[in-house]
Amino acid sequence: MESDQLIHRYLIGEATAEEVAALDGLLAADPELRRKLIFEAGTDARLREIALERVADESAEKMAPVKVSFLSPVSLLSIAAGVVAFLGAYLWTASLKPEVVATLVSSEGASWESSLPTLPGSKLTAGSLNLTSGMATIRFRSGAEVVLEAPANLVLETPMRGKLLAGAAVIDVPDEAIGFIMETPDSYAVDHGTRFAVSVDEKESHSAFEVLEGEISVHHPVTGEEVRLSGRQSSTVSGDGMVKIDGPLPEKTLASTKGRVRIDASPGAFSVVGNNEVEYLHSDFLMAKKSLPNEAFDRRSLFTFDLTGFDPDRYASAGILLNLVPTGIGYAAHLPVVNRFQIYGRAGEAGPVDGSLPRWETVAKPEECELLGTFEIPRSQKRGTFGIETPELMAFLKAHPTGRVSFLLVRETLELERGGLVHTFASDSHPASSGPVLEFYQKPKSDHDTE
Amino acid sequence: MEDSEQPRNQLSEGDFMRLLMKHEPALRAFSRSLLPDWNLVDEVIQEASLTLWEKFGQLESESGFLPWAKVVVRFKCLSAIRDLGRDRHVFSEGVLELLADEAAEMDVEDHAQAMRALRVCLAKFSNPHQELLLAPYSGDGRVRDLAIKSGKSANALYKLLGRLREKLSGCVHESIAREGLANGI
Repeated sequence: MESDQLIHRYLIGEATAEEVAALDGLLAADPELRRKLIFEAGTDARLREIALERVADESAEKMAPVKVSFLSPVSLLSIAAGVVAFLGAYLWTASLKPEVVATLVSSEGASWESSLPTLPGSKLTAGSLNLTSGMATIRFRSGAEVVLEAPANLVLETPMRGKLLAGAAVIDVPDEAIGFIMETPDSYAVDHGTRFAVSVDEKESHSAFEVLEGEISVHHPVTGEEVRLSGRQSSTVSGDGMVKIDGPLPEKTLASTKGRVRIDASPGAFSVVGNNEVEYLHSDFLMAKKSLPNEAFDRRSLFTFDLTGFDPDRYASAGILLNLVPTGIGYAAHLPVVNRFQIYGRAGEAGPVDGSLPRWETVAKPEECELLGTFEIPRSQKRGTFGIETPELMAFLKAHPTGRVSFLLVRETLELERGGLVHTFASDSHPASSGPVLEFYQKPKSDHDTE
Repeated sequence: MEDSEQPRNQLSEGDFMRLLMKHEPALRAFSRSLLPDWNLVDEVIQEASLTLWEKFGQLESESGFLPWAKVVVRFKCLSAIRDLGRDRHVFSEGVLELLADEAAEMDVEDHAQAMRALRVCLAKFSNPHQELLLAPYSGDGRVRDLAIKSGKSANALYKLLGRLREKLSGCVHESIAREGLANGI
């Protein structure tokens, strides 16, 4: 048997008398092997320390006291009462840790979606934290400190492990938390004592690591790749591999507008309401609602784009974008968690051409139009840009290459109770937000955004 | 303290506890290189800490704590092995003396550096392999329990454990060497 394996068998208590005698002979003759044994005995001691820490962590979860030092208070009784009190407190606090993974140290303008407590100072158990705005500092029990920037989603797993599903974080790992692991959807970084930044772009399935100080190693479990980063090195990770960058990450750029043409809706976008009572409408907003028990309070919106002289054939794809703006009409709680909207198209004008007020029954109805796509908005969301980019929309635009085209916006999902929220999007006359926009792209939009 | 001699230092009880806590891991690693099992290591460390406390007044300065403590621990280790007699699988006295001399050189910084490297290296192993690597310290028969759970023979699992330990050791060595280079050592 190799001498290395003899040492391991000796240290794990499996060596026979003959094996110990053989090892003894080898050790007597070989200073290098003695150094190896001393080193392995040290590793054995440290592994035991780690094993004990883990037992303590598990027991803490069950609130069972565990001896975390090997120095027993009983034998130390003979030392001195004061010292015993000190040691007792040390053992007690070290062994009776509550079931806590991290502490929320501070937050700045933070708002959360989380089942965990979100007041600064709160003790956090394993779970997920969704920071929707602001910043927050979370200290893992190991000492690793994570400064989270919204919008971000962080999963607290153990005092030595977290997972960033979305957003950006700067992580400061003191010596005692070396080995701290920050996972992302495609990879994980093991910290070697350092400060590093990590960001996850959920939509693009892309993560980036940047060492600010010290060293980390980044692992890609799918490809088996591993890179070590130190100084200001960085790396980017996606589903199919990693790229190491010998310097900080390049400054982020906004999506280029090259190869993109934007057309604003023609003036006069409008909404209609089932009962045709105009006080339920407002020229700043395009409204959408599907209500109970009849159509009296339903809202739909219509808008038109002028494509005269424009050639859709020069573009690969097109999208319609709408800006959701809050008005506070109705209760979001009376809606399903996720609400779906449909966009229909038809050639020509959306409303009456004679200048009369548009009425529910006279404007374009879904059944008279072509369905071009749907999009969804969670009921909790009151702001944001939504829309469609579908082959159907592009085909529709190519089929109606000149003149004016109109679109009808309808909420497909019903409210659950009366008085539900009316979804309101900026119209072309909204004072702050842009009205409906039609965009043409030379490449599909998703490719543009990664430029 | 009952020692009639005047203490040579101004160190307090609190200083003693702090020094003992700080150096306990290094002392434990040192004893482990001489003693055949962890039970014996624990006993020796208990006994040695009592002796250290009794003689704490003789320590001249904080910086002398670890070398001094190693002398005490070495004495306790060799004496414990003599008490074991011949029926236990232990090294010969000559080898123990050589190991004791050579192990005494490792200091607290070495231990801290090796601990950092070990944490990083251990994290690279899969969860079942980490569990196996830590099993020998998680109670008697833990490796055998894992063998039953995984449907493998205990012998096969011990062999795997030996290979994993060697791999872990290689990683720790490499990591320390790299850190040494990075620090210009």
